[in-house]
Amino acid sequence: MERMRPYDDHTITQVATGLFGVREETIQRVRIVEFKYAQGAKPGLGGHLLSDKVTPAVARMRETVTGISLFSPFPFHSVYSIEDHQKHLDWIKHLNRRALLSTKVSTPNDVDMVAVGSYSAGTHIVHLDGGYGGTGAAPDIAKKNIAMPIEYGIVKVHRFLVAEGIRDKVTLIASGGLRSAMDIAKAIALGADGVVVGTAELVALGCVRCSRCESGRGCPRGIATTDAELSQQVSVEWGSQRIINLYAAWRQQLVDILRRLGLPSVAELRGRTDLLMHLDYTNDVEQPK
Amino acid sequence: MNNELIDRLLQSRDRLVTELGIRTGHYKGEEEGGCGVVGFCASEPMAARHIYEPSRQMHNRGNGKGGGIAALGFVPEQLGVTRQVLEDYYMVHIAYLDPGVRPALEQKYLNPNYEIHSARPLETVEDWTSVPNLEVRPPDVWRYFARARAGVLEDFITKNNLSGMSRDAAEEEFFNQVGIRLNQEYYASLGEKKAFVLSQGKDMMILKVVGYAEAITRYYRIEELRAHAWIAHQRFPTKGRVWHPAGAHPFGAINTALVHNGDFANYHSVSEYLAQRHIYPQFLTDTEVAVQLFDLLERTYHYPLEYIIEAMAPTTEFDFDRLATEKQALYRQIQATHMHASPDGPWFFIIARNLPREKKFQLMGITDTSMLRPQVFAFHDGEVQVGLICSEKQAIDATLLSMSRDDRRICPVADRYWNARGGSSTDGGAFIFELKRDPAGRMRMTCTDKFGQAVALPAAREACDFSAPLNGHLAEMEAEILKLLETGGAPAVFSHVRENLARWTFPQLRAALAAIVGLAKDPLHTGPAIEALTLLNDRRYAAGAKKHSHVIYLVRQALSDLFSALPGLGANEPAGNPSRLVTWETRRLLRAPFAGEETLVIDTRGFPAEGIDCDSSLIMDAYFKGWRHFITYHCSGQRFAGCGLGPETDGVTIDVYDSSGDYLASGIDGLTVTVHGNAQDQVGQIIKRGKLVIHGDTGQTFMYGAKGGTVYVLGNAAGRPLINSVGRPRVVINGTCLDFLAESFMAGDVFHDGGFVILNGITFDESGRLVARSRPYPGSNLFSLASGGAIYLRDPGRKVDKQQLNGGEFTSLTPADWDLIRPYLEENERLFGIKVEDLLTVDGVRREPADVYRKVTPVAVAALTTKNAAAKASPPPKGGAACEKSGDLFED
Repeated sequence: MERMRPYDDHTITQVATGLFGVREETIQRVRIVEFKYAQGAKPGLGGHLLSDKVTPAVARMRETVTGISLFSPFPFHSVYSIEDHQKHLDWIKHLNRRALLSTKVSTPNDVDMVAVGSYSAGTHIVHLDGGYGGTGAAPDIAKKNIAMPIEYGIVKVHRFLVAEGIRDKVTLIASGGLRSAMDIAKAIALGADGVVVGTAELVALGCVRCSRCESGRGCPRGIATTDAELSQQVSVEWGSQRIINLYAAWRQQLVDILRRLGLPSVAELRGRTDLLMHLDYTNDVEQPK
Repeated sequence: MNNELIDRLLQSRDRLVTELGIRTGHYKGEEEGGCGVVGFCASEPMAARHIYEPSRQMHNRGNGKGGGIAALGFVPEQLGVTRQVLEDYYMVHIAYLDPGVRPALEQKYLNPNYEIHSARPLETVEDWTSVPNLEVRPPDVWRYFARARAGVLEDFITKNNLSGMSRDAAEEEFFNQVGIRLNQEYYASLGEKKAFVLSQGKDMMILKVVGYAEAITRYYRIEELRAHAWIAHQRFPTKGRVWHPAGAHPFGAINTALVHNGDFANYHSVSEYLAQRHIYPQFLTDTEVAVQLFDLLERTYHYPLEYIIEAMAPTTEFDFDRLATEKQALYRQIQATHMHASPDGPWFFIIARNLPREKKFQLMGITDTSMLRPQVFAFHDGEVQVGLICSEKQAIDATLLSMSRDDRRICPVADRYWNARGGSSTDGGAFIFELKRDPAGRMRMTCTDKFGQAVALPAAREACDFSAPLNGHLAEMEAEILKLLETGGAPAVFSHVRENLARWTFPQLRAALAAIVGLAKDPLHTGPAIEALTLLNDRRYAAGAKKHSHVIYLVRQALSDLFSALPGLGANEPAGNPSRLVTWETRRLLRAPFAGEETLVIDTRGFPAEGIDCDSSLIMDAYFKGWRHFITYHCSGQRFAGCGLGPETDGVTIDVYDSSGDYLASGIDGLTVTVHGNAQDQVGQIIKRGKLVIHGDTGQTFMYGAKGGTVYVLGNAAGRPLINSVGRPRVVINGTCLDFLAESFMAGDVFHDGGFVILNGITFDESGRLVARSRPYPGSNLFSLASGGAIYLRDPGRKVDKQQLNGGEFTSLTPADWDLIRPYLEENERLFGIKVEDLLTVDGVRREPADVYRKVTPVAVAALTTKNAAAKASPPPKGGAACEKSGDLFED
């Protein structure tokens, strides 16, 4: 924890449904606190950390007991309504007045109402997580089958925020299956202010997508593991450089896209659905014979 | 009502909706979240302004985009009609968003159908912007006293083949259908809405605004309007722009008004069910379909209230098993027929209705089966009886306080406060206050649960005359108490009052309390005087024939007087007193403590419930300035007390008096928080270390995600206490819980620094004696899905069944267990006066700890400990909670 201190201004602390490791001092250190209500890959399912992965280091961070399986429930048991959500935000604001508050939700059918509700309860950032993300730990039956694809969610929310006259009062972040620079450009053109990626970074670190993330010693590349021996496969220096490479490449691609569109900045791209087209709905694609 | 008649009624509605072309409404017009709801009824008509205070205090449960009130049981003279008219005619309230449509609307819908006794607009203030908390100009409202024209009603009955119906019932249906027609033409079919029916029923009214509910009483100038029952609602719609208040609560059906806190996950399914019976929402909100459902079950199927409640909040799981066989058969029928109309998700209804044929009024609260919304009930007995239902206890306190200012027969402390256990076999999750005239013509109130069992009230009847001046006894009391203070300190004073209380008169008690307050002016005695009064406030003891609520009120009043007389901050501060008082007015004068100053006392009146100016922010400031001991009093629901002080706060104490608020003591790491009364919801979230003592009950999701701390609760916890707790919380709850105690408890091994809960399952009789509850734990889920820690259950009668455990098992109490928990029970004895000896005594016989306490430990579930992929596919352990909430077993 202490060695993270230089990065406090660049760290987002998450208050998730299990409330593991959530402490006043961690909330007070950071600039953004995110409330995780659901994950797009498995909305409504909660989480479970098998006892095997609750090592002394994990237990210390989560303030739990070594070797005892941990549940993250769905949903927040203290939040069953919008006024509970507001109270929840007020609590964190009380602890850290300078923090920006983010609310991470998945993409149900009424995601537009959820977004506006979160805003009216006092959130600064709405983070939408679509159904195409998730690690190997999320069950296949849930992935892609519950939450709607993020592309639909972004447009729906963006347009509703515009109609309500509050689009510029809230930041919209998208995630869930965004894997490349083109995906990012598309998400922004659909109406997002920014994106969050997860799996792409894992792949940059060497993830082979074998879907065994939940197991303590199951990750052949030592990424999703709590095992001391396996995790030696990724050194901090090597890993950092791989991530730097990924973002540098994406930046170049994004700049190229913006140049070709004649846009001076990425902010100008937001909501420009007119610059997108859906290949399935056009006739100029050569149909296979 | 026979089935044929039900069919004909449904057919007549089918013709109506076909004629009007209504075939929509399966989608909500807008989402809304929870809200703040409050309702009260009284044996005497109460002025509308008493709904003002609780509404104002629940601002933070709404967002100012919808407020509404309903009233039933008026004083005829105030409405300018005779009692006969009030009883014979329907009160129809119509909101005109476009006042220009009134003549045409009246011409088409009212005049031809109704014989109108009187029609007049509600008075309003001239300039709506002068009323705070209004966002949009409220609609013009007209009130009509109307009844169906005899000939027209005859035609209606003939045409719809309803001759088997009573004329009254047919008239109700006639009003219902005219209302649907009117709403369709002037509201539902239009993009730009013009007018709608607010309410139609006998002796009832509903009003709504875009704004906060209390603005209604000011805008429509009804502050002095009196009625027997009131409900109010603060809405939190999630839509940004709201132009008119039609979507605000309450929603009405004939003679009925309903407000709702929560939302339905199955709006579509409920709408489908209603559509099959030719009922369609016109305002497209949850609340509207809720009142339509209630109306259907009542006015079409003629179900008794118990069946209606069962259809809405079904009895499930272990509670169902505990019902009598005949009841099970009946409920199974109701559930099979109506389950898909039972609202799913978090909801809590307050319903007020007039039953004109039975000449009575009812106010009821119904909670959903899973108890996902907070609710508190209270009964104030006496010459004036008041029944109250609110989202937060502090709103009940605010209502009673407001009433007591007008009428000194009303005590700001009620005789009983309680929660309902949703869908249960014990109370059915619903309570009904009923007002009916006694043979002498006086309105009297009773309160029963879903099954018709009366709520037990204290037998003590002797009331204190609060309006009488303090007289006599003072000098002698002062001398006696001074002697006691000097010789035995606070405990001696407490014992003296407790022992004499039964034989003292109320004036003597008041003199004794005044003497303590007076002596506290000497800095030497301030501390012991506070302690003595606090003991009188916190402990349970015999008060003889005196009403306990009145004794408690006098003690709290004495404490407030004592605190308010402490030296304040600012110019001419007297030196030499260890306590300093800070108020809203003097908060900016806050400074570091001088030598010898120990305690900062905060009068919280005027402080907002949250935000930079709230009293708990002041505590943070004061803490960083060097104060270490705090007392807050006059609390009215202010939140976050004790939050934000950060780590390593050992030695800091906060004592909270009066109505504390949500999230109290959340995240504390070392300090001690003591609540001298009931606590509210979300108390003690993520507590890490430190001590929390609650001299009363506590609300929903108590200690969610707690990591540690030592916690003592004198009374009960509501739903979901200790859920998802890990690490080493150590908790004693002397009462019981509604349900879901310690679900997903993950608190390690109790013998190796893990956590546990001791649940004593006791209560106190009127003389303050300990009595075991009939069931130490009534809920269907105890320790579900737990993977660590333990529950120590005081259950000498072995009444808790293993069916109530989902993932836990009973084991016997070993001497090592007893050694572990005994120090906590001893501290419990010190704090609350609950003797360990008494806990171990069952039916007058001292028993061994292992015969009295049972231990519940987690079962090692293979799927939770193995790491192979098969674990992913295997089902979770048997039981509702496991399946319904945590779903499958997936990594975090």
